[in-house]
Amino acid sequence: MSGPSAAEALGELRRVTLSRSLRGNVRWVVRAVGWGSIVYLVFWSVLLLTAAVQSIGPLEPRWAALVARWSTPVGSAILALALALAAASRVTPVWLDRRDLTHLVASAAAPVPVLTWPAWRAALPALSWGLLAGGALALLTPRLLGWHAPAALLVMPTLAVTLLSLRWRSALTGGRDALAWGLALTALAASAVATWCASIGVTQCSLSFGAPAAAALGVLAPLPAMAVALGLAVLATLVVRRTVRRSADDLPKTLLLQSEVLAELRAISTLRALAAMSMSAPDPGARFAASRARAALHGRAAAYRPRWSPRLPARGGAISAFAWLGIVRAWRSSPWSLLALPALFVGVPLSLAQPGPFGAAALLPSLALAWAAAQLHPGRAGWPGFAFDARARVLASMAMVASLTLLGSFVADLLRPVLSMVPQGEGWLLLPIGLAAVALVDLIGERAGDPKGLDVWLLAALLVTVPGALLGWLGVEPGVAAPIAGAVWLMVAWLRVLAAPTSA
Amino acid sequence: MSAAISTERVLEVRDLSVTLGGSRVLDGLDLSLAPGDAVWLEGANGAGKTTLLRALAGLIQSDGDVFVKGERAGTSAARALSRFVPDTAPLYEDLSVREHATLLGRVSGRAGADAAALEWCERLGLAERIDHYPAALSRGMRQKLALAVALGGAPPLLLLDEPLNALDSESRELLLAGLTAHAASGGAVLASGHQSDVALRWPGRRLRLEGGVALPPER
Repeated sequence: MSGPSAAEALGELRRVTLSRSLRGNVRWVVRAVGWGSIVYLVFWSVLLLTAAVQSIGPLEPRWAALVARWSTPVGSAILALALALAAASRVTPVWLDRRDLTHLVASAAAPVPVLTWPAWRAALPALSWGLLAGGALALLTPRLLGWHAPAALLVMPTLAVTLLSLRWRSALTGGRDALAWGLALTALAASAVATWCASIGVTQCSLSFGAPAAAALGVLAPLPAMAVALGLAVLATLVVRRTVRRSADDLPKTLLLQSEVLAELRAISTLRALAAMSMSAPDPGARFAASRARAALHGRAAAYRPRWSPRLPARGGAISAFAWLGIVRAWRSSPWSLLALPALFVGVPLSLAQPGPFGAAALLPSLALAWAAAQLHPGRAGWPGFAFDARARVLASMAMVASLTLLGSFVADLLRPVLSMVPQGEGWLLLPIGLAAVALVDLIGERAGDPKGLDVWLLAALLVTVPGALLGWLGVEPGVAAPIAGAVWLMVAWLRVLAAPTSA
Repeated sequence: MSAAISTERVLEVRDLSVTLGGSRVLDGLDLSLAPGDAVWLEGANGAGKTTLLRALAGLIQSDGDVFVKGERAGTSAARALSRFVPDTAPLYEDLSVREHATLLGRVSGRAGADAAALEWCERLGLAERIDHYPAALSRGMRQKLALAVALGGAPPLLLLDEPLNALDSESRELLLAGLTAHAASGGAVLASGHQSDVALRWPGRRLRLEGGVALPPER
């Protein structure tokens, strides 16, 4: 039998399985919820959404002026960050489930038809999120700002697909995709220029450099906005075509090696979502299983054996055995969550109550920096093409944070009349907090085996913010608290940099 | 690569190593299967039997050289020449037994694979459930379906992970006969398992996996 008939059989297999699965799911929903309830829910959702949108009035002029000035550079900075994250991705967003891995990888059909459904399965959520974000922008900007942004409905899904394609290409090339990095760096440079233009009040310059963001926000006139959207659409198509062409002769090895774990992770997420939907308690082991699967994805030892196993007490019988079991299970499920929880309850209210540079003004950048540091953490494999050890990695991250904090301090001074959170000239006090956040993410991430985990970056951000917030709450002046925050950073940096092994 | 790769050999493995979480599971393993070879792979739990089969199927990261009829493992050409059946058979829950045999037989691209897979389904006792979904099948029957699809495709290399685990004695005999016939027709089989009675009656070579390498069986 020749190739085309194998491809036809593959198409038939997908048609049969997907249509039956869809029918089965619809039947299940209708049986479980009922048509009446569905119509009722849709009716009230539409009504509430319409009422909510209509209740939104225009922003106050000073806020509107601020948004008009900064929305394009902020939007383009977010776009640059999203592109950089996509370019650094080493995990394929397209994967085969276990059935496909067993039955279809030996198919006589070319890889493209094998990958068509998995690619759609990855693209549909991205498209949905893009449409949702575009719809929200198209609905809200006319009411809030008086801008009309119909192009957002086209631009945002296009952007989502572009980012997905870049993630795929980056994963297939081990994070060395020149096109993805080129786009990310171009967007980063454009974002920097747009920010600089906005800071000196040259709006047109800012708009032209932040064109994709401006188009999505409706700041550009409809024609340029559509031109930008079309340009992005063409770019996305080219990216996808190159990706598919790259894998035309063979199924990508990354896809085969990562698929099983990604399928397992998806199954765990589905079970957790179903538990949440039915308002039942989630499986306590699911979180551990997900963490173990993520570690397996990156080949870390944490996927195969525990990092810490205390000796069971020789005496005490069943009670000590149960105590040991409880402690070990709590620790292995996620020790960082346990530590983050009290820090969350103490740190967030304390920080939000503080007006000075060690309150909310420190918490928010700390969270952002810790999150960004976690996302950019190279993991065990190191950066593509470079063998950075922990010391070099932390020092390089800190240099970047120092630059960003100084830039942030400058922006904070510009925004001070509106936000009035940071006293003039004190933005630099956030520097040691930012440095410590990055170093802590690296430190905790290595021990947790999952540097990108929510608990890791949340805990890191809170740990560096709480001491300053606590001192501020006790009435200590920022001039005194700053050296203490600096000492926290030095301690963490010493732990990570000086006490770190020289290999990654 | 020190020596030329033979396209005569169905499977050629040189210096294969697999490390999982810092532990070396396979350590410089060499293995060669000629047409007609049927190898029964035994070893203690955790010896690396499943890891070896998955590495040969290109599903886990490995170091070393693996070739299927001269094609490097993991490429489409090599995958088209082999078939891996895991110990728990993943099936499409929305396809009946007949549809599994027919569609997957055709997807494999080999002429007559669909009819052969259906024939194997009947021989292995799935005729009465031929139009049932997998949910209506026992574990053993699911395993039989996966094996029937693999045998129907008749690829040059069959990689079977504990294929006999859930099978009744009659089906075991049928499967052993089928594997013998497959080898006799110029194919090669690498199957793992623990059944000592099967090992004694296995038509081909036996190997023991220990310390990450393949050794002759214990006497």
